[in-house]
Amino acid sequence: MDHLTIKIVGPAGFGIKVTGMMLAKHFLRSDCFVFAYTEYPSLIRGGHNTFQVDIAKKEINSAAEKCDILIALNKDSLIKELKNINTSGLIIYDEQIEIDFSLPNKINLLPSPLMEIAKNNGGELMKNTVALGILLGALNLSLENLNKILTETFGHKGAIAEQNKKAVQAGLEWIKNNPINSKIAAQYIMTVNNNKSFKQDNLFISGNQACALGAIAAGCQLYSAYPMTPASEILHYLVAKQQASGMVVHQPEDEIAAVHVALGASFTGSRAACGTSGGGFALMNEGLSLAGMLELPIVIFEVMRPAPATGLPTWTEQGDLMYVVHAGHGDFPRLVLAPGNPTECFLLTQQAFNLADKYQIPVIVLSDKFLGESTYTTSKKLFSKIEKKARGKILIVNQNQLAENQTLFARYKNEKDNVSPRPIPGVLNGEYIANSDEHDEFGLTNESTVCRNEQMKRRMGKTLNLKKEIPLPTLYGPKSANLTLVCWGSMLGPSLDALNEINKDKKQINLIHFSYVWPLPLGLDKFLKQFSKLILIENNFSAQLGILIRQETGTEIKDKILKYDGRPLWKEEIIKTVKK
Amino acid sequence: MSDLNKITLGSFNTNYQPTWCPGCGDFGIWTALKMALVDLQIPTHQLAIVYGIGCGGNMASTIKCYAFHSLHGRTLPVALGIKLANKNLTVIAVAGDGDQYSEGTNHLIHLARYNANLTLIVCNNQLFSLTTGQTSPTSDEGIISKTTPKGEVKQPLDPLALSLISGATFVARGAAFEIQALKELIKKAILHQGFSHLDVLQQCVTFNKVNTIEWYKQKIYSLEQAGHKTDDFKMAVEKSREHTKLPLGIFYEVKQPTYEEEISNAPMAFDFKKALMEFI
Repeated sequence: MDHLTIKIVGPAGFGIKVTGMMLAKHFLRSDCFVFAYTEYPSLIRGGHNTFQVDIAKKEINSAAEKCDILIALNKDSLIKELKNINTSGLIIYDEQIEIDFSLPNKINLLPSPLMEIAKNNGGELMKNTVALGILLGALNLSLENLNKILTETFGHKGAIAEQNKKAVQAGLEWIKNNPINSKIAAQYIMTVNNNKSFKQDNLFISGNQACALGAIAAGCQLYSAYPMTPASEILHYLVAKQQASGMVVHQPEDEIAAVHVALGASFTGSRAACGTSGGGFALMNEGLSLAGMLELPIVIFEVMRPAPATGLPTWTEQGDLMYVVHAGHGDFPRLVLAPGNPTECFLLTQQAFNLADKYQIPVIVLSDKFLGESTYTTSKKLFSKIEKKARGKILIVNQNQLAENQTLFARYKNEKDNVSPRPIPGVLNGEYIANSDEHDEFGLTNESTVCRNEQMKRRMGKTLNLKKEIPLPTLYGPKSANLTLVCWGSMLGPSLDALNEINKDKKQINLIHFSYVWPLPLGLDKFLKQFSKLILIENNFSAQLGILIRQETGTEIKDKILKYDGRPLWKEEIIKTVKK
Repeated sequence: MSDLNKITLGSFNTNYQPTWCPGCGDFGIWTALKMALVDLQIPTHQLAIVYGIGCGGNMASTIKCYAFHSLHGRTLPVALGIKLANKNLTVIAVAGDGDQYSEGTNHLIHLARYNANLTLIVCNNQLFSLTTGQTSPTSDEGIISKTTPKGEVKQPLDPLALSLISGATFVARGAAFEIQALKELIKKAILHQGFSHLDVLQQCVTFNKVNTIEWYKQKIYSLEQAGHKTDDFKMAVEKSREHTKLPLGIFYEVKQPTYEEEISNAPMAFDFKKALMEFI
């Protein structure tokens, strides 16, 4: 096999994620490409949770629609997943589960004494670990390598690592002593590197972790965020690393405070960011508008989930694009970046800080649950690319005296590039008023026509320069093709996997991906005209990027593949539609 | 420091004239604040004042410093961000009663509990005035305003009681028409290492015909002269809920570690190579 999909399912609280991550890491260290995708309801105990590990010999960017091996920790989960198993898939489950329901024809069953072995090796909660041992034996994977991962995972908990090792060993012995079952499982064996040493070229990292690392790389000095799924992992990672990074990480009373704390820090010269999902971003709106008026750089991570309202809190959607593009009262320039994978999360987050500083504007990094919480295999080399910190026209020393009759610094004076020098508190002769009222060049309240027009034109003038600076969308696949997929943000993964699959034999299609989604770059209309047939792929109901493209270029993309049920688009769905 | 560099009232001049009504209490607060800054010799470039929206907030253009005229209710989170970014700055928030005790109440409760070294001055005229006279959370029951033509039926909020029970480490009240005493209170509030909440009673000569200077003068008395002990939390809470008479001065003062001391990390060189190994 050159692609294997293993899915572990069961109620919350049974260590499904931890087991899945260990399995995924094991394959990563066997020189495979791995993609991990998880689904879980918004609760702490019970429910139906899944952790899917896709393993391949070559690059992989998304999860498969159906799995080859299902490990079901209880009956409910098994039944729920029947429709998600490939025709000749394998189910590993506890032998006490009674199969009193109909099964697809060619499915293979591997009933095993999960509970019994678990009870003899630390208790019921060890079921997942026992199953891991069975899988290890069935697929001929290295026990030594897994034990190392177990030590790394549970090392800090001492005895727990040893208990898990025993449970794995017991599961492994059971399948080895069971030739009939071993034979059934053997057809799923994927030849991998079982040596102790492995190539260390790749990282196994989520979009959220990559955004957090990007913020550290950018020298972000203050991060302020209120907990909200699926953005919380950025907060968790930055908190865990704050001693080493020196970043101040603040959990405020609400998202209104989150954005205003970040703005206060930005005013004072810190690189500052906050992070949330759509609902929290709604509370940040007035702060976004304030950043626009005061021309303070700020980076906001918006990790989308399906809305309106609480929506589907632990699922995925690209439904907030139109919202973040238009959020905040009034006209002011902003930049919206939508990374397509963790590498882009890392690089574009650094870009976000640099461009926020250069243009003195708010920058939104728009991600979603699928990108944020899925774990991708990605080149380590790209993560060594730390961009130079360009702080724009920040003024940390002012050599000049103020002119006679001048009491304040001309912070908002007209400049050719529409960006004015920005002194920070502590700088002598730099005092000014960061004024949410319309103001003159010193920040003094001024409601005159002349002043209003001058300041509006200067602020809004930044957009044109931005449109010139940001790149055209990225082209993947052959330069010309009969058909072109168009996507943005997280839909890069499934689109790219679909493209690779379709083009395996014959180069038929290509793909353009937008990671700069607002403003749209200058020259986009001309760029789009070189493609004969476009199909839009979006994880939302209204084809929101399509609306923006039509608004800005006049090009309407009529063919669309849209999905808004909380699940990401699977490459299989794209392939099926394209082949039609 | 030579006399040339001495900070005077003129140091704070912006050439921008206040826009308040003649006789407004904000003139008193503005003057007392500048006098306190002169007494403490705080350089204008080391001073950040965050203003809210309302008549009090319109002070923003009139004091030379690093001023941040924020949004209605949002002075405190902005002030916190400034302090977290540079703890050497003197950070003051100036808000109104509608501003801080209505839209910004949530921030007040939590800032009191965080104990960052900030000074909050609330220009409390018991009314929304810049929006032409509606009741505010500190309006007395029965008061007639644009939004309460039959008289206010809601109970007023006791803002100092609120910040006391939320953990504020310095709680005081002054009056806009007692400028010398107010100046001393502002100085003490600024010098206090931690969150200081200073509520300032003020007249609104245009919209509040009940709570006039004469009205206030019949009700106020000095806590200090009454022998109040500023380390007595229980008594402070009791005093903060007094309505028949209005106590002025420091209700409560206690030393606690500040938030910025506890949260800040020494800047270190982040080891990326080491961090990336966790993802292999």
